[in-house]
Amino acid sequence: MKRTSSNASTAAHEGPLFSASSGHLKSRTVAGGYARITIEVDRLSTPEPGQFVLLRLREGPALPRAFSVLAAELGRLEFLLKLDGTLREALARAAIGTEVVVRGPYGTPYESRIGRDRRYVLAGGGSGIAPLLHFAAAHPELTEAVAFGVRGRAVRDLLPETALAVEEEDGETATDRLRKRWKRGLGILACGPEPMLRGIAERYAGEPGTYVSLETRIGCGFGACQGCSIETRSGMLRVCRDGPLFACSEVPWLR
Amino acid sequence: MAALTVRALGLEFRNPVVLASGPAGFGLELAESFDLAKVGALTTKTVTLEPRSGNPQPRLVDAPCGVLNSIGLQNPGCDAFRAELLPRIRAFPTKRIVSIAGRSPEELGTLAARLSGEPGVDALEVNLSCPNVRGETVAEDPQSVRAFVHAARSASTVPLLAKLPGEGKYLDLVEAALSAGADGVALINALRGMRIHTETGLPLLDRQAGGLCGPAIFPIALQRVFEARKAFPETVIVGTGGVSDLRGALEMLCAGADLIGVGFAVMADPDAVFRLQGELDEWLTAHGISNVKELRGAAHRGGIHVR
Repeated sequence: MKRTSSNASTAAHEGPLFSASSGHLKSRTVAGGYARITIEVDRLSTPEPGQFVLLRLREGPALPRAFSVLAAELGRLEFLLKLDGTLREALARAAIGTEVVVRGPYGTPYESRIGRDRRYVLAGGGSGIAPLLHFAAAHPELTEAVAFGVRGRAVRDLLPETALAVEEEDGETATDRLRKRWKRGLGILACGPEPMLRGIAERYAGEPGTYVSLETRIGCGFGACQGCSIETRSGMLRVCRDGPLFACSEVPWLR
Repeated sequence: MAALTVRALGLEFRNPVVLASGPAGFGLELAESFDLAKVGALTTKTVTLEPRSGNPQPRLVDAPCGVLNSIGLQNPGCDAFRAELLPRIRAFPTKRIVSIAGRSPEELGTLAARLSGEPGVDALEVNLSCPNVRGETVAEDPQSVRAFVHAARSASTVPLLAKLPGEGKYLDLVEAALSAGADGVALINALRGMRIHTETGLPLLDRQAGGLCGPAIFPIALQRVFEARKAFPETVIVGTGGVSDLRGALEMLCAGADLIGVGFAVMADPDAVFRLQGELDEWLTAHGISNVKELRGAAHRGGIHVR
């Protein structure tokens, strides 16, 4: 896994950068209903783990779609996509070299949302493992262990650098793995399908240091349109700007 | 350099591009990265008397060439708007149109009275056509349009726009709004539409219908503006609906719009919105047109350059 070069992200914390950049699909591997793609793009500050970018194909859906990042370095972004949406399927079919419009990065980096006073078990499911892998690579000092729920071997082939344990081989879900690796004093960073997050919330919401990374259909990406707003204990908050990471106790409806 | 200034509603807009109510929020996030002097006006998200938390997720559902939105008028309410947002909006280097909605004419009147005369409120836009608040889409008959607009008019001294739907007998609604004292109309609001989840067979939006916006509705909005201009040659029209580029802006002007409302594009491609004034200037200059007002309603009088 490539290290995120945090120093290279010059503008990530100087306020949002709106300008869309024209990037190109550089490479793609497809397996088990997922695709790993690389997009080369200039003039974009490098996303921090937990941040996302908006992607749009000229011939794709009119409203760009938010994707969290698997790995990032200056001028190069990698994504892990589950192939179940119009844009995602278009990205799985597009010819290498196809133009992809990229805007961002947006969202609050995980690191600035969590306490640095503990280490975390990273619980991920499906394409939700992408930002957690990004986080683990950038912050080994905060990462205690991973607990990923990935169904098939095929997905591991997309991520050869990770030695991913898969459900198909050992029968364990993300929640099973989390149960084995978590102990009092550790935090949790969870990102994945809602049923998985609900399961984690049910068991660990009361524990300090439990965070969930949430997904909604994001509109503008920069906090203006309220398209992604969710109910929290502190009122309506925007997944795109106030999140995507929230303290699990802040979102009681998840249980 | 062509003249882009538009005089309308007794105000001077630096150029005809208006950020429509909704996607731009209250302009605060856009102001971090864009120069608001590049648009003629900002229309705020709709403000209501009491705070509203809006609709549950999902609030945005993709549609061909656009999106269905179901935000549900989330806003902090009139008092918080005045205390916390207006002082910041006041500083924007553009005109500020404040969108308002009420559940009854009385409530709307109260709201209009509280905002009218506040520094930084250059005009009010009465939202009579939000597709996303149940039982409150008041603009379906001319009588209620008249009652709401009359209430806002009586309570305020600033220029007043009525934001109307592009569905049903919309020309009757324009007539009703103008006869009740509106200084102009914003046409059209998002059109009601829906989508269904094919695995469950159920509507994707909690309220079934949402407001369809984006390029999908552009030809419809254009035709409504054209018809309204034909019927009301003098009234101020903010032509709104799916304009996302220079060509759309030019068509909207030719159809008869004084000002061009841009909503969806602020969400999808904000850079393009803030490039519009420059592109408009270049286009006019390249076509030997010295003033943007020469385009207004060109489709009604034999086309561009013909007077």
